[in-house]
Amino acid sequence: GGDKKEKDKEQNTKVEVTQWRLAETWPTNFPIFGDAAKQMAQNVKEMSNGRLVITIDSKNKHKAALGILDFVKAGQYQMGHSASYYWKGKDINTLFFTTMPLGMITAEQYAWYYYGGGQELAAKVYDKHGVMSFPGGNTGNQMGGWFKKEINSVDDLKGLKMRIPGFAGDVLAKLGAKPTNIPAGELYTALERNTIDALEWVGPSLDLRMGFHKIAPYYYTGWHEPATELQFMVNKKAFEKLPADLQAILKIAIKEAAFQVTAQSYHESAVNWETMKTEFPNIQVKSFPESVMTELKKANSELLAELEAKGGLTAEIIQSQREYMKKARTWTEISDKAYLNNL
Amino acid sequence: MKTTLRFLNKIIDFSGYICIAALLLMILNVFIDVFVRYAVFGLLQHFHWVTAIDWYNEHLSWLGGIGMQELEWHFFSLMFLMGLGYTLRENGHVRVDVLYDNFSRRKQAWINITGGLIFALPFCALIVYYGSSFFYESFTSMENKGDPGSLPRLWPVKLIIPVAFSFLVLSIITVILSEIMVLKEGEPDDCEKEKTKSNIEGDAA
Amino acid sequence: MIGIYLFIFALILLFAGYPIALTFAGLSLLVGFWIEGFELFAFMPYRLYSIMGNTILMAIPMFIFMGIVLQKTGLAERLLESMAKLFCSRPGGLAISTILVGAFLAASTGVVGASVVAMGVISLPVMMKYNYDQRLATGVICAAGTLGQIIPPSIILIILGDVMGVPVGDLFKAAMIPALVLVGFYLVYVIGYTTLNPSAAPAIPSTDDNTSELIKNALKNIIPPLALIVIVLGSILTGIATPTESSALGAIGALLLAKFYGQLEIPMVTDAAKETVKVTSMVFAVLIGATAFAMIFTYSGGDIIVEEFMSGLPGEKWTFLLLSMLAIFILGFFIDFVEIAFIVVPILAPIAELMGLNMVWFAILIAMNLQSSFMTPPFGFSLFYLKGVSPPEVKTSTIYKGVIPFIFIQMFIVVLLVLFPEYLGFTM
Ligand code: NA
Ligand code: NA
Repeated sequence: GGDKKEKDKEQNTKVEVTQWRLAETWPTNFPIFGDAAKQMAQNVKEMSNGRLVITIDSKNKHKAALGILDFVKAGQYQMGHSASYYWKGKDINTLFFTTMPLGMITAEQYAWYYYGGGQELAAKVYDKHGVMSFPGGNTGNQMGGWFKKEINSVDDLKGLKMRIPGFAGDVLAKLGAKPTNIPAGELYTALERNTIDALEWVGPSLDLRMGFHKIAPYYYTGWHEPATELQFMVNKKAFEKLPADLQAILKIAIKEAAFQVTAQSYHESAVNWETMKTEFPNIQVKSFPESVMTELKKANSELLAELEAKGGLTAEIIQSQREYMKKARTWTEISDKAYLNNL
Repeated sequence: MKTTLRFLNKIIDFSGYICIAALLLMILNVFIDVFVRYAVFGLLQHFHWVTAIDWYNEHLSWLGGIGMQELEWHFFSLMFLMGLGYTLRENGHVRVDVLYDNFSRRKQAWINITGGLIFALPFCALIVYYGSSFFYESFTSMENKGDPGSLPRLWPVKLIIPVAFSFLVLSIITVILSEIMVLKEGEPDDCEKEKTKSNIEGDAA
Repeated sequence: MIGIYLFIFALILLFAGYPIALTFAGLSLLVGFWIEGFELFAFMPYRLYSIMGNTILMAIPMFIFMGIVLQKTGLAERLLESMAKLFCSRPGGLAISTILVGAFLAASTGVVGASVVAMGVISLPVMMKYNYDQRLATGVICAAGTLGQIIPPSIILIILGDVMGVPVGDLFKAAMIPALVLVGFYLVYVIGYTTLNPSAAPAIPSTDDNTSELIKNALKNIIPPLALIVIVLGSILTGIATPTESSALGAIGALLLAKFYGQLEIPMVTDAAKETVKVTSMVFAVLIGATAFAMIFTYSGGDIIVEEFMSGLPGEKWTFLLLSMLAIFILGFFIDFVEIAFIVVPILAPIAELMGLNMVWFAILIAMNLQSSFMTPPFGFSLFYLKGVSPPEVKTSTIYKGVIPFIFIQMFIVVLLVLFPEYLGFTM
């Protein structure tokens, strides 16, 4: 499907209105994540004075949460809002543009993306699919998940049935856990009834409404998704057909919406954590003990080394991230970390 | 035409056997997964038998792992999608039969021919067409689910869509041809009547 | 305008009797082509794929298989015979045992047709032989045979759970009390009616068997399947396993039970599998037709129109509740629960959620309401199945009249659920 262009008859001027459609991974009115596309579409409409109008189709409409890349690639939708690591099964190089276990935090990752070569690498990865990828808002550090039992040693992870998808699941599996797939609608029941022993979702911003705190008392701090970046996608051909000013407007609208969602996520997390803490004082915040963290780090680097051995673009991205993180982390240590420690 | 019909019916019968096998394999698969998760792992974990868990993860992690969980819905998809055509030939799809039951057999034949040509065939042909590119996209990108222990490739399950709808197309053609036979030769033979009756008793819903 | 003509044309064909699933699919194609062009159907593989990967719906074939295998072991026959002997000495005894056996079979399967057919074959001839009122006899069989869809495990509850985004286990749990109340009202009605009109359901001269022998015999027939039902339902309700996992346990358990009764043979298993495939594919064909229809419906903005209409109504949630229940009840006369669940409920559910209704409660209301659709003429599965196995002297009109009291009882329960949800196990 191409763009639908129609004359704006009401104003009787010769302004050409471009109609675009965006498909998002999230269900209708999904909090925070769902606001990203809404904000972007509104930005575009206002800045372009109505010349570019983007309508949003949620998962309820297109029914394919994980079909967004295909849709944008094929041009059925000109845009998408999702997360890059969902395409890992199709193209392993997309894995690195969301967040990596034990990787960079939000500020570091944005710095890498805009000034450390991340943007260029993303372009290289997505060019092949005829798609342009942009940051789509950051959830910040995600919590490590809800556990029914305490984790005191690596042995407690052995055989642990946990809902944890993707690369982080691979890391945990290396330590003997059993990652398990459960549909989102059945998660609460599955945890309540010991079908699974633990699960990770997002963080206070989205966990509170799921109610996990009522059935799993241990809320572990994060390690597996330190800076989850959502993603805007644009079909390249459709983008190139836009006049230069609309192209610039779209890019800025995307960037502003991403920034908005990043701030909103932090805010919602703070507010919801406050609620959780006061209304459910039984929630126990825990961190994995050092012995577990050491093993997680080891497993993580081994798995990354396996990927790096593939060479090519994959190795290039891994090396770029590793080197940039080293540089940025030194600064984080003596700035934010030192500041927080000193308080 | 009779030989063509007989041949087509043989093919549809064959797809029926695939469905039966897929159903039984699915039941067995889910049962094994459940057994491993609760009986085997539940016990090992309960008694903190870490060495056994380690050994299991080392050698048998596929058994009851995510790959096998994925296999469950692969069998499931094979069963109900391949069953679409089989069920159509067996006259098992629900109809609004307020009027249909009182129509003459010739009228029923006309309805089945018209519906097949206008509604069923174009729809299925389109699904075969778009399903093929859906499969091809997955095939060329060597896609998998990307979860720990996932099956290596996802295209086989996506291939089921165009294949199953091709079988459905065959089944629609079979039904149209046999309804044309009814129009040409009058009332259906006894064997076909028998079939309709057994459906009434067999199908539960 | 062409869209409307097509819609009317399709309705005509729907009533002409072409399979519903394919009519909906074909209609969607024609209208979709008109609205958006063929390219819209490039989405169909994705929609199919999301059905394929739906592990919640995977429970459907396994519960069907479990039910059919149990059916084939002659469970229904043995149960009915031993029960009938126990209760036959009182007026209406056969009717009472039919309801009890119906409830029991219902807990072993999620499908309706099989139990209606089984009881129609076994129980109806006996009732007719002893001069039961034909209306009472057919009504009781239809009602008891239909219990399978409200007593868990139940296909309709699985589908509603999936469509409405509610955990299936919660629905199973919530359905228990209303279903038992329904069975209770059936029993009260039958006992009351037969006490007032003993001639409608004469007592049967008792045989020589002594009572303790009869009880022992009945227990022998009940305990093994009961154990299976307890394991399957128990594992779901206590939450040891998900409904899908339990359905696999049930399927394997049914096979073991068949082995126990010495009836585990390959032809029996393949026959059961074949029937399961047919019912499953029938259900999923409707789902596929419905998803094509829903695609056209939403891409042409139909969902927004309905939502605006419903939320613009005065009286808010009560009007909505009344309208949706009425719509489902009336639609139930013409189309069956699969289409209602897949086509109508997805339109209602988001509005109900928006209005803040308790979704589990709303789902049970729908399920209880849909219970009637099996028994409302002209298109009611149970009527159709019973007619199929009745002797020719049982007229269709007799069956239609026979189910009326039971439809009223169901509507009464729906009203109870609306007015006194807290007494039926809901915390609102
Ligand atoms: Na049931
Ligand atoms: Na009906």
